[in-house]
Amino acid sequence: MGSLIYRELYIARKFYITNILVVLLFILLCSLVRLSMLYGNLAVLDEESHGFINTITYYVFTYLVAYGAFSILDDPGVIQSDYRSNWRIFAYSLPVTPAKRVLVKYIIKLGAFCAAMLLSVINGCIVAAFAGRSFGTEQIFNFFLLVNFWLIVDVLRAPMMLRARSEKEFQVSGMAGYFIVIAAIMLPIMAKMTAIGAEVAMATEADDLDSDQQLTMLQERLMDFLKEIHDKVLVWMPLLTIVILAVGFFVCIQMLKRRES
Amino acid sequence: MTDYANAVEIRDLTKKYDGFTLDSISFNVPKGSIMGFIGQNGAGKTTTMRAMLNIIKKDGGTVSMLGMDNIENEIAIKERIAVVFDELPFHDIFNADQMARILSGVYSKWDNEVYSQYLDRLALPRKKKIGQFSKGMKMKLQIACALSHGAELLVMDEATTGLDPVVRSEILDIFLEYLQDENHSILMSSHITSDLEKVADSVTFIDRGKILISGYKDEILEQHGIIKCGKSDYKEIDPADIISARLNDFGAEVMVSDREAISKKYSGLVIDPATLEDIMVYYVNRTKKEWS
Amino acid sequence: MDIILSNSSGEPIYSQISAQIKQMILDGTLKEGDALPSMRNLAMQLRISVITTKRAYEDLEREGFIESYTGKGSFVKAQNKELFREEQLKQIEELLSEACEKSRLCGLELSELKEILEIMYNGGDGND
Repeated sequence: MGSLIYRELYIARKFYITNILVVLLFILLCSLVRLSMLYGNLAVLDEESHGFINTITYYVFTYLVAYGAFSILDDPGVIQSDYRSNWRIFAYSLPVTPAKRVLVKYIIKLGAFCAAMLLSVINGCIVAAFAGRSFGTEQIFNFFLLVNFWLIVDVLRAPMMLRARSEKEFQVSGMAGYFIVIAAIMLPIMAKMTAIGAEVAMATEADDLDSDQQLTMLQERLMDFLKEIHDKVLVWMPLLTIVILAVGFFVCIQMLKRRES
Repeated sequence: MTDYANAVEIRDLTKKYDGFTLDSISFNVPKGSIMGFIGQNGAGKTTTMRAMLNIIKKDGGTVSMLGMDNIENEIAIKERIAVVFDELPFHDIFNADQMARILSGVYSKWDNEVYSQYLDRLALPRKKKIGQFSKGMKMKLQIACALSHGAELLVMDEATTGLDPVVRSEILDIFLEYLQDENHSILMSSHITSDLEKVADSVTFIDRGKILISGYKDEILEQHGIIKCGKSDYKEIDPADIISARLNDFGAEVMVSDREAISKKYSGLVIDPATLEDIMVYYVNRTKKEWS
Repeated sequence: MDIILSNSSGEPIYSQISAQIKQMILDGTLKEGDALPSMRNLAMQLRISVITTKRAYEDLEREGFIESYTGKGSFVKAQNKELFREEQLKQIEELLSEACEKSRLCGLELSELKEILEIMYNGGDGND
């Protein structure tokens, strides 16, 4: 099985190496910006703005880099490459069970996950140090949000891609995964935002609020809602991850067992 | 090691598609022999091979390879067989050494020594990317890989199609050598009958999803013949004796399947031996009966 | 051992092989106990089917020229001298009767024929 892992890693090497290098570059960049803010060109900002910018950069740098890092869990194009080179058909003549073939992909994903987590944590610590804050479980749980996003996209995509029979089907599968997940996230938010908008409109009528108050109310309600969802999801996160992985594993095996048509 | 008489036994294999059906295919590949699986493009050769290897799901029938059921013992079988496809199914970015690395972890009986020897014998470079190989080199690489893990059965799907005669000849020599061990068997599908004409022990003809003939090549060639005669003589021949006849302005060429009986029945007619290619062509036209 | 096959002679390959091997045994090129190449090896060298070589060997075995042992191979059998002589005699008689007929046809006398025979037997080429 090790040789099969080697095979897939070698095929995807550009994807993984590029991803890691880009993330490292970003970490460097963010650190440079922070240094500049402390000792360099950007240190000229006044105290108040400083605090505001501090907070923004803290969040942005931590999660932007994390998002970049965890995009390593995206599809490295191996399934498509296998299809194009006819390895997919050839693999049926090998004494390898479907379970093993899926396991190979999972192991690689695990490795990628560890690399990404490592980079994100290191970055998180650096950013937190600059901002004078602490880095801990809160950030890590938030990282898992990103991880789960990619895992769900993958679990939706991979079975379709394992059975794709043309370039077009590959593209469609790839897109479909994203769209389904993003839609699933955006729809409740959109719905709630519409609801909030209606609430605020009614409150304006009732209490005769001015535009500033309106805006504040809108912001507050939205933030509350997002925080509510965030906290709820966080609780279910570990379980969700395991369920997604298990379901993905079995569905992929079933897809391979179903053979070509 | 299980002992078996037939390296491959196919019984009533059926697969339905829209517009094409593999209809109750049955034939055997005796151990230690080379079977030529002949048919036109689209006759069902690849479908049969794929169903046999469980690449596609069969609708009915049984397949046994090396004495074991092809579905129940799939993994055990695949340890001991090698499949060669018409196009190299390896990624362009790998070289011969890397392929050895990959395959050695897949087959328990992979032998690097043997692989090295084949690479040398076939003059294949080890560090060059496969994408830069010529067509002949790609096929040779596939064969080197196929013969390096102690496989007892070699299954080839149009492996020699598209290669120049010199390379084909080299490859055929390697197959003949492979067969020196009487536990080795080969099943090869092709529509290039000249290769099989010489070396095949048995042949099976498939046309439009049905098996036409299956048996020892020598016998089939002995029994079939082509009568060359004039139009008037042609009219005397009983249609039941004819497989099909090719007519031209100056006479007729008639294929028959029992040379001895025919030569007795119609004494005086010239019966020429037929090649496998002739047999394929005349049989494919059997429903037309007369063609030109 | 030389075996030369012809695709155009019309004679089946297996019979060409057995005929040539038979010839070699009869004229002494292959001696009693000599090992023949294995069926598979012969098939590979001549690039023909092993079924063909098998058939040739089976024919030879049936006619008593060789013996095959599974696992060991095929060997030239001790030729029955009597049978061999009989076979040759038969052929000689046939050839002589042909010579006689031709002699009669062109008016050659028996005494002249005997002269020619003597010269030929003793190593001459028969030309005056």
